[in-house]
Amino acid sequence: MSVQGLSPHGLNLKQFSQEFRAKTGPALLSSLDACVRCGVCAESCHYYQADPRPEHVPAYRAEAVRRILRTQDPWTRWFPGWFGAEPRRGRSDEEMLRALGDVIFGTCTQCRRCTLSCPMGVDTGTIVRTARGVLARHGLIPEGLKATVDAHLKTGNNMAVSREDFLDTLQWMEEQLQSDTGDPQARIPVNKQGARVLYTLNPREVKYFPLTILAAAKILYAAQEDWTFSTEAWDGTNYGLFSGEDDKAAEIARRLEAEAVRLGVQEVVMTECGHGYRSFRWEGPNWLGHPYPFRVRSFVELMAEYLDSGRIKLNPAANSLPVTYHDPCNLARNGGIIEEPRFLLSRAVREFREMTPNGKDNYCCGGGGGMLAMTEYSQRRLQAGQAKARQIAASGARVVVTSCHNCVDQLNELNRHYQLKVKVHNLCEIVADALVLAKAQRPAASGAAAQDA
Amino acid sequence: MPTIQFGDVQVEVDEDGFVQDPKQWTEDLARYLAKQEEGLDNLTEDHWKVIHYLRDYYQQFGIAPMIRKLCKDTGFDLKYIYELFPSGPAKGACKLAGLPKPTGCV
Amino acid sequence: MVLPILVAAAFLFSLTALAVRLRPALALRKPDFSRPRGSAAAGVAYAYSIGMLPWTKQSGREHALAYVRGALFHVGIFLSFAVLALTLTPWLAGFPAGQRTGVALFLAVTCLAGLLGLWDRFRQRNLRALSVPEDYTAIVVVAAFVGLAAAAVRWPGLTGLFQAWSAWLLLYLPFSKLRHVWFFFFMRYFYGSHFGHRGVLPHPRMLEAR
Ligand code: SF4
Ligand code: SF4
Repeated sequence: MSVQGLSPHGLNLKQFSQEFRAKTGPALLSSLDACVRCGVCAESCHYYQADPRPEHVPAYRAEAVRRILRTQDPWTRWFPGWFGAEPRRGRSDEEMLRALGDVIFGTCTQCRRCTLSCPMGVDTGTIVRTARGVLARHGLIPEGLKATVDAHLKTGNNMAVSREDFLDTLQWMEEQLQSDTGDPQARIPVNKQGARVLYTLNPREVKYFPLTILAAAKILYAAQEDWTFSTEAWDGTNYGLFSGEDDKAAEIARRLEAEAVRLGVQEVVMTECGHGYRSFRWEGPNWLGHPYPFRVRSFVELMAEYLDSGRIKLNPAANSLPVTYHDPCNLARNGGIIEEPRFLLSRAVREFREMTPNGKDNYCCGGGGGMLAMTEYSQRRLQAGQAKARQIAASGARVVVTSCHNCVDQLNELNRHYQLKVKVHNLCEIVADALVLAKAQRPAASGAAAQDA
Repeated sequence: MPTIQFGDVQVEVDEDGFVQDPKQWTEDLARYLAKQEEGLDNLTEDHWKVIHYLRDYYQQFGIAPMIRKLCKDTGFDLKYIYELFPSGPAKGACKLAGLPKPTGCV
Repeated sequence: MVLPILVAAAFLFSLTALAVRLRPALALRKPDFSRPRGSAAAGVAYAYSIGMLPWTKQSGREHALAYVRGALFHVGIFLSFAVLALTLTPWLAGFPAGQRTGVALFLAVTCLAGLLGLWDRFRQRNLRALSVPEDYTAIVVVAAFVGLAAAAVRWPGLTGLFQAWSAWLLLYLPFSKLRHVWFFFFMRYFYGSHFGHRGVLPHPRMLEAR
């Protein structure tokens, strides 16, 4: 298989190598040159766990990139075969690059679990992302991934939701919020200048799963937060992280930054979207080349702070089934958010069971790296989720909680495919269901509990 | 590109099972997909109401409707829609209605 | 006198070559503009210490034998470089014969550990698929270096041969995977500072400091 998509310019190996080198700082160069092909990273990759063959050893993906680079490397290209340059085997440059595309788009979720396992610390995920960026720039990118980035740039969100539809949905959830809290004054604020917090969403919440908006609004209401949405920049996702196109990723981050500055907020809070959090919190300032004048946190961190400081109270009786937590790679391994969800769950559910391994060592669910948007790799994605499915089954939990909308979708598919018979929920739904509202306002069942019923 | 075969018709679908060409959609196909993809043995009147609504909307606007619109215009509440289509509005309902796979995290 | 100069020249060449390879990358060096959640310095300290212990990593737990073998080989390599430095001074001959035999034997064992790595590469499916021809020669070149160090320690008459081979090794190093001898240290630094900055290593904390 190889990547579809048009290559209007006809990319050749030399150009690929030049563009890759132009993005190679000292950290990336170290990842290229430190690998000794010892292969001990094999078991750290969920693809290998599901199907242990050499092509699923993490170093194999990085080598696919290195082999192409070696064809042009002035240090070794005099003995190309000897030093491991990609053999031509009668292929044109573009055919070789399309084959590379299949490896880097189709068999790595950039979860960086292998990095933590490598004795060197080689960052295969970043090698893969950088190579994706070069191919994408020349049109060698899976259609669905490209369409998602383009929709975001063109319409302001990756599902092309119109402003009217957005506002309509918020209003709908506001009515729901008022009836759930019994407070006709409860609001979902929009474009509020000078609010303390700007909250962002994943478009799938608006388009298909608005109950997480309601859950978040309920928690923000209970904590009496001064918060707002923006109609100008409400999408917290950034598929530029997955396409590897730094310029597009930077533009998406720039719009959110500009809107946060315009509204004068103190912090931007990312919805439970793993890659959106990682993109805006950690990568964004580096894509843009400057720090933000405000703080960025995940909603998970904000909820934990509310609970820690007593701004919200939880009653675990609301969630009585045994619960496990899936650490999204982009929150835990790539952002250090590991203790917060556990703290929240320790107060929000009756029985919590860890998966093994967990935290920074948790296996990727298989849905990362933009896999959900690339239908051509759906079967591989489901297969690669096997490690996660086994972990879930072994935990004996009936409910799987996670803090990533993308993981939720993949976990739901794993649930059906591997017949796990669990419920999958976002953390904010579980927290919202356990909320004890001040005054005598008791929330009617909603969110997770209602969906379970 | 995988194809599915039911009766004497061949339909191209993507690896997620979304029909490639919306024009190839028939009610029989929807029934077939319901069984294959959603494990639904028969489609009730309410299922059909949603499916036809989605198709009409898509034909008119070229995009799948918001869940908000779907609820408002069919009169079904949100939880009922989730119950009707266990895989959700996108991977369940839209797929059965022969709409293309949406962009983003679904 | 010729050989020591050759060794020194080869060493300088090796360093210069590394600098040349690094230079374009160093020009792209940028600070991390994201707000820290943890400490980059603590991450670096961790990466060079506890983070190198095999049982802190899945790879170390699942490939314990390969780890021990590899570690032994590398101890031997660094010891051989120490021997090389000593051969350039008059002190080596001053060590008692018993001690020299002991060191030579230890080096021989580490050399063997290296050659066993070669065996693994031939035998294991994953390693065969990953390996490029140079992976095999690199082991041979380095194992010979360690073996000759052992020989030179035991039989000072072989010092010339050892030095000549060392010079060749140093000249070959920049073109080979052997340059990981430098990049290992850089990689650990970048790895530690990156995950330290993000508060993932050494250990996660509950709430980000304000
Ligand atoms: S990535 Fe690390 S663990 Fe994997 S082969 Fe390379 S050096 Fe070994
Ligand atoms: S980043 Fe994740 S998916 Fe990619 S090779 Fe490493 S472990 Fe596998």
